[in-house]
Amino acid sequence: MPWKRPTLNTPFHIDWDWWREHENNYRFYLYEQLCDACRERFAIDEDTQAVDWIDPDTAEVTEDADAWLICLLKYCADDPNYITSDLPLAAAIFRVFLTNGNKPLTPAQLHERLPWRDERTILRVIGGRKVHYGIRPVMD
Amino acid sequence: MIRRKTQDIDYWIHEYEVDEADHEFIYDLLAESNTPIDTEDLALAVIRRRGEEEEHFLRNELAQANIYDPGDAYEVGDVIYFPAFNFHKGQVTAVRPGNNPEHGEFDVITVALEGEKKPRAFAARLQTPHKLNRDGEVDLLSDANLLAPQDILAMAGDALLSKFEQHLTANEDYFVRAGSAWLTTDQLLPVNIGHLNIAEALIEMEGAPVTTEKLLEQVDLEPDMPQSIRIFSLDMALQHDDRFVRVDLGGKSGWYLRRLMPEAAVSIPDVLRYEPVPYDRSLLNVELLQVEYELQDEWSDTPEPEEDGEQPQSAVYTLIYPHYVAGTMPLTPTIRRMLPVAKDGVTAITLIDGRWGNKIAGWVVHEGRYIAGLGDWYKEHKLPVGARILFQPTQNPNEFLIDFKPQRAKRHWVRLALVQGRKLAFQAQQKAINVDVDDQVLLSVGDSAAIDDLREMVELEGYSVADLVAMIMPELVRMSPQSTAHVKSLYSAINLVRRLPPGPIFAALVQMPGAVDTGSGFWSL
Repeated sequence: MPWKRPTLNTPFHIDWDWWREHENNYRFYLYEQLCDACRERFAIDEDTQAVDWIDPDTAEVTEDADAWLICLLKYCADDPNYITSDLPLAAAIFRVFLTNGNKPLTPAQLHERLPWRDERTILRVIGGRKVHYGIRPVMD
Repeated sequence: MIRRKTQDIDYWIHEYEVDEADHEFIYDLLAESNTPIDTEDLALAVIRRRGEEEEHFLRNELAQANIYDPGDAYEVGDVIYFPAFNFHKGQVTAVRPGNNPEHGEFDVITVALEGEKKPRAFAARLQTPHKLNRDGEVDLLSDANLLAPQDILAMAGDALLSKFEQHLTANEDYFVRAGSAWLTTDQLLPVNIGHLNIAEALIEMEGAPVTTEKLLEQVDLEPDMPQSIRIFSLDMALQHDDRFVRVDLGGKSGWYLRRLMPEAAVSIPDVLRYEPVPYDRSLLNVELLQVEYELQDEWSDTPEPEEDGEQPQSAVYTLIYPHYVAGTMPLTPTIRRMLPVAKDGVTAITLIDGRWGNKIAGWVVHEGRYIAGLGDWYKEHKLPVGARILFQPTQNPNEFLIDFKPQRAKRHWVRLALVQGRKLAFQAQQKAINVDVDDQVLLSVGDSAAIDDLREMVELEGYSVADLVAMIMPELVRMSPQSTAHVKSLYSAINLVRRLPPGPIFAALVQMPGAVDTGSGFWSL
């Protein structure tokens, strides 16, 4: 399919197929995105991709859960310093998608979550030919 | 710690219903108390009872139950109670080793919870600390952070109170209400027509509202019974007799006679009824907003003045035709702050005529946003529409001074409103006026019956605000040598035929084709 230049209204998301095709160590990138508390909790070499996750309130077990993803959604997302202007823009956008359950967002919507960068800059970073962190336009 | 249903505000707001047991409990409570109890106290008693009942149940259950602790080991067939799931009971159907390097060696038990189709999995023999570890704790029910019934009611608020109100009102064979308090029907004392006739005579003799306590001094109603039941029973009987009207006496409740009250105190006159009109407020420029503020209309959408805790010293209102004919004065935002707060009902106050010192009975009709009882006062002092009137608190909290500024008689050009065919027309008429007036609001009426008919026609034919502005504005402009009319004059004139605050009138004027703002509140066409 020919490449088509995305616009400010093009929705983007993390394309996990892209990760499968281009990066076989996406879990390393995922680990990099964990907050400090979660990184302390897990070692990078631990097999945490399909564990029995224990709910901290009820002790109910979620079977075959990815511990890092759960940590990202349940803990890192609540950390007010998880997404800051100090992060490289592509990493910040990647974290936005990780914490919102990979719900598609346009550069304009991403700007609402990353107000320190304007929507055109966001589009320039994720809308170019080079793909960062698997962030790509949502295909119809 | 155990989660209790009765500690969950959501439960009280969304799930709770007054059941048969609560109904009986309320009935017994009222019957045994021998005194009326208000809805809030009944609700508190039910919340307390439900809480105690739950605690009793939990203590009994817990005494014999196997309470889930993730640190304990379980076997297939074990029956466990789950504190985090509202003490649901479940049976272990499988046990397998758990897999999570974070927690080391532990078990995962599969549990079939009562009432659930899908089994759930829980951690067991867990070595790492968990919130649900009891660590030898015996009394699962002790909790210093439990919400008191008062806290629960404060948080659940009106949503919960209305459940009780609805239930009690729907069961009128069992419960009766007077004001905010309830009693059982069996406790009501019989009040006969003779009692009520005595009450009527007593109120007439007093010439002012009388409290139920005072009425009871003369009405011989089973003196051996508790006073609160006697008051309640008489209140109930008075409430159901059309001759009497309950009025607020500045915090205390009293009774007065409907026939002695001005009509506007008993029901809102048509001329004062305002049906809110949607309009685009952004059309009003600063000047129009300023005029709107000056007019202090009781139905204006102007923001409430900031509460600084201090009562205003005085307020001035400009008399408009609807209040003139109804014998009322508006509860402007400033005047409202001087009076007892209430959403509805009638509060009795005393107005002191600032000229002659007479006392006048005033009736604050909260819902209608006016005070009734001024019809004679307006006539005695020959006050015209447009007169500026002062309202001031006195040292007595229930008495207010009402006054105007007299002036040496001066001849004013007054707009005389006439009905010509199906529309309103105006003539300039010279009149001697001896009080302070707002010249732009000032007007007089030739034939008030014709104005009434025109008002009825405007209502029946569904004239919009724009229609009224289109009918009246050209007539006002025509009688001015400058061919302009002031927005206050338009407001005053439109209120002859329909009660409207300035906002929607001004917005319609701004949108009227050909209307031009010529400055200082004057507009031309």
